[in-house]
Amino acid sequence: MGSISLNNINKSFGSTEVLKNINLDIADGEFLILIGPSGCGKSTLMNLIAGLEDLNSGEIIIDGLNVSDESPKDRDIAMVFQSYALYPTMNVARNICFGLEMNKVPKSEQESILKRVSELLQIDHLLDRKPGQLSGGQRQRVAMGRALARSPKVFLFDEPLSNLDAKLRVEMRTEIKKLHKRIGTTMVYVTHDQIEAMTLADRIAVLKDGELQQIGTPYEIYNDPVSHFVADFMGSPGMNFIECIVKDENLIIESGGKKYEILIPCKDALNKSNLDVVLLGIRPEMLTEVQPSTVGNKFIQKVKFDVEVIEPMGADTVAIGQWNETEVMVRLSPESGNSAGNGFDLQVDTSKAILFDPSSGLRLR
Amino acid sequence: MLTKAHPERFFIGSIMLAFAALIMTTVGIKPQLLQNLQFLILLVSLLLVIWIGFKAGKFQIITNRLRNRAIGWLIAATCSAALWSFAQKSTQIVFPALKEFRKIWNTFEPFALFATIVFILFALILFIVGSRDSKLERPGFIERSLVNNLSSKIAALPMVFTAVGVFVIATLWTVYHSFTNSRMLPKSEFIGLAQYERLWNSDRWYMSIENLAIYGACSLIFSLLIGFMLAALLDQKTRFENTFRTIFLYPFALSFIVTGLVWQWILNPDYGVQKIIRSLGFDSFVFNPLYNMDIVIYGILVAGLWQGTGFIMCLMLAGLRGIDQEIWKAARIDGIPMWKTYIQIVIPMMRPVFITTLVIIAAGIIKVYDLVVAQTSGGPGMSSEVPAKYVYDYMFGAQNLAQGFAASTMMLVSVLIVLIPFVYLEFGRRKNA
Repeated sequence: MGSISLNNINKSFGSTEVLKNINLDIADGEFLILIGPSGCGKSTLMNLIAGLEDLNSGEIIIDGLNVSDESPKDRDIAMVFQSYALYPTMNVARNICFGLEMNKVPKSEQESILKRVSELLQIDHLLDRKPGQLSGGQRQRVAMGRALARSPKVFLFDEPLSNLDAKLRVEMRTEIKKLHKRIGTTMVYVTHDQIEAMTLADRIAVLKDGELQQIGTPYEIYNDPVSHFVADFMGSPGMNFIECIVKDENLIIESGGKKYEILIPCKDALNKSNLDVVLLGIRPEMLTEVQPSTVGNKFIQKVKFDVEVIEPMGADTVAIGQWNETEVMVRLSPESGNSAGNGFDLQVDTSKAILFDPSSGLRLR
Repeated sequence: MLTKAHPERFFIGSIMLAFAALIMTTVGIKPQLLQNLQFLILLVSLLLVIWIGFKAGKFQIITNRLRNRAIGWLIAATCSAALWSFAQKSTQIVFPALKEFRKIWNTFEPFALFATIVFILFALILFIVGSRDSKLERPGFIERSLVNNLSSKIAALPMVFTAVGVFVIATLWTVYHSFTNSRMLPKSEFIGLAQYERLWNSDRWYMSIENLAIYGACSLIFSLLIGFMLAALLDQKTRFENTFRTIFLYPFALSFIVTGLVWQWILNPDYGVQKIIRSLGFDSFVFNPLYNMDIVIYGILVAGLWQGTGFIMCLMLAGLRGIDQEIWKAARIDGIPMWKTYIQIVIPMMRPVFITTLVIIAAGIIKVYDLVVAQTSGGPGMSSEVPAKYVYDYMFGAQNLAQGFAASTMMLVSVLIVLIPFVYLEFGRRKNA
């Protein structure tokens, strides 16, 4: 079916290097998400896979065939765009069938494809309408229908949900995931929304400034990031980063007007690095109110915490205070969040805490 | 017994009488018997108002917002009337200071009079509507058109009057006089369709129409074709795009007269293209379109295209730029060849741009005149005559106004024949959709 290999891909526009030596293997049937801040080259990489831009060097192999110099239509791919890119003067049925018609698919076959696709996406009652008469979610479905009609080896999604409102986005997200389960085709999906990435992906590839930072399952990316950048990018509310002085394999933290020595798991890495000051990365959900059943975990410690701001989010409450004069977000239950103030008893679980080199931003391992 | 509604109705009645008096004064009534009728009516209406006031005890004119606005229109009418009266001799005798500016007053006199009448009419309509619908919960059509944005509507009125005056009245006047035997000056003596018979028996008119048809068809097709091609080429991320665009647009900055002169020189056999090629050694080379009766109109066409296509290109380029880049990407992924993408997707999407362009080109075709005058003066013989030139020549050259009017009426009619179904289709379709 549709495995993709990207080997040593380079791309530059004029003197600006957009992609630097990208190597990426996507297995058949995999859902891969390309994520990164705007301008990181993720859309360019997508366009390269689609064949909409020419490579400077490197090769793209789809399903064992080197397609680096092929035109988009010969790569057996389909793409869904952010603005949907439906042909506004044609009705939905013709939008879906136009590509088939151009590729000389017989009329009867076109009709059966149209029927199958429109039933799959539940747009069979919209076939006579023009795109202008559809809502955002419906347009999105039609755009996916147009992609599905070609039964390609690979689906490419270029930020397909960015133009939808928040609620619809969640619905369509589930829809896409279901679709992937049902048809099992390889999908490459570009987004800058880390929640989309976490929920949809089999694997996530994080890009920054045209370089591949890390590729791995959502769990790996979230819990085992390779750098400060990746750790910072994934997660909402984001990871806390605190510069700490090292003292006897422990880290010193000043919280609520007192100094604490915090026990951390990755001591070997700390010893190996020989640094006096390190960047401690700890996710907000590891900083909570005191839980009753925490016996036997030596990394659980208690500190006093001065809460400055409370942001209730419904399911839980984010409280913001300071450690070592750096802002720290902690995640409390709504009940304890309401009463949080100065001198709050905070439970710190460092079992998943990670350390970074403050100058290079790389993970200490 | 008088109810509350009665005095208002009487008041409206008296205003109507006053309005009638005003019209009578301005139109002027000849017979001796009626000469002082307007003053009589005015007096009667005044007495009526006083009587109503006396009977009802008090006026209740401003009882709702419509009538409130009507007062505004009345004030505007009073101002216009004052302006009009400044131009009158009798006022100027009373206030000699006004005489100093009598040129200004004279300029504004007809406008002020017209405005006074219209404003009073508006006030009346509002009064009547305001009296009939005393509740007025929802703003109706009249309120929307006469009350909302009142000040901006008053400000727009001079332009409306000018447009109506120039286009509608002048057009009707022209059509009317095409049925007369006016020569140098307009006369009102009807002679039926004689001018049209003469027009359609004239070889020169036939020649003009034939030329216009050739020029129009070619100009329309080639302007659109070349303009769109240039725009499509420039849209391919061309280097020096700005430079090319400027070069293509430059001829548009020249007037038709200058364009005509330039191309007359270029096409002139004695110092144009023919001369240059002959001086290169091709002694028998012949290229003199402006001196060949069969192809002279194409010589004019070339100049017209040279002048106009750059602008068409700019319009088309703007249209192309308005098309989402993702549409192009989608078409490429769908495997649609570029030319098919243009024809099947992009051009249908550019429909509004094409309609605008079509209107601009069509207007340019109908009014082509100066190009012909500058290049050939209609020659050789009359082989490059065009209808606009026919009209001008008969109106001012041959001093036969009615013949010129007949020709221009024919032009109007033919434009309407093309335009009305088009407008009907275009706007009727949108309403149904």
